[in-house]
Amino acid sequence: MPATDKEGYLLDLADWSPEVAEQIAQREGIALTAEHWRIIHLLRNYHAAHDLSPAMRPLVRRVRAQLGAEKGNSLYLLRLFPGNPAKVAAKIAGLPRPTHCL
Amino acid sequence: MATLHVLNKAAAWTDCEPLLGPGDAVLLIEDGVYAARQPLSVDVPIRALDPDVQARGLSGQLAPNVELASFDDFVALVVSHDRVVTWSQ
Amino acid sequence: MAKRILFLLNRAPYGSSYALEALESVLVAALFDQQVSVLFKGAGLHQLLKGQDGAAVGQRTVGKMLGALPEYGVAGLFVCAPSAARLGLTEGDFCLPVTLLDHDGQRRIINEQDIVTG
Repeated sequence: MPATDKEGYLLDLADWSPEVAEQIAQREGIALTAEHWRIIHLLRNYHAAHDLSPAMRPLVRRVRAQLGAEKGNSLYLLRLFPGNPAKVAAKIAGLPRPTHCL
Repeated sequence: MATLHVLNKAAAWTDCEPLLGPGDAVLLIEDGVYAARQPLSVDVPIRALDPDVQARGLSGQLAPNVELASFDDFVALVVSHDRVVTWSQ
Repeated sequence: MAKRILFLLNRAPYGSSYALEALESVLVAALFDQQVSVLFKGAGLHQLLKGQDGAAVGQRTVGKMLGALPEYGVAGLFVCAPSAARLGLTEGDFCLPVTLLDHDGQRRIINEQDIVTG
């Protein structure tokens, strides 16, 4: 497992791999399914495009636009990434901590 | 819908000047007061914060249409306008 | 009650942290459900140039981050047309769809705001 900060975010984003994602998820008590992976890939694409880990609302908007309304809502994301989906999903996707999470 | 334009750098005058409209006022503060060493030919009232003018040794050297303002005047200006735009450069 | 807030973005990216910090403020204001718009003026227009790569100087890429503004709910993306003319820039140089405004147009949107901030 590569180095992380005390909250569990990767220190070097280049250390990320699907295997590392599985390890981070395990620490968070999450077993990754295909549904999780769709969000993880979406987040990684988002970060590549915008150099930003999205806060919850823009994340929901992006999921709704790409995966449809039944997934593009906070309940769905909360079920996959309990607690704080924007933070937990970003952590597993190997992105920096979202800075504007309320 | 009057706006108070606050300038804290002289160079900001170039940005601010074209956007001045009826009812607006300008307040020069900090390094913004240097802008008043040249003539400022606009139709709106221009004030310069007196302590900042004194500190920079500019007393008596400002363009004739520029009036000095105290901190109390600063507050009164803010209150009497709909919004404040701070121009920094 | 949502306020109408206009951010004046007049700094070039990368040379200092001003552009990035202003952009962070824009994102936070939008997340607080305010009606946020941005007006690029002067050197700030350089934030919109295509093809930026902040990683080359160890920084985040401002141009890419700006692309997130619509999804954050920032509806108004305005550019000072006289600044663009002075810098020899046209809409084709920008990485986002923006609305060019002359001085009258800028005065009009400033007058619609509750708060205008640098």
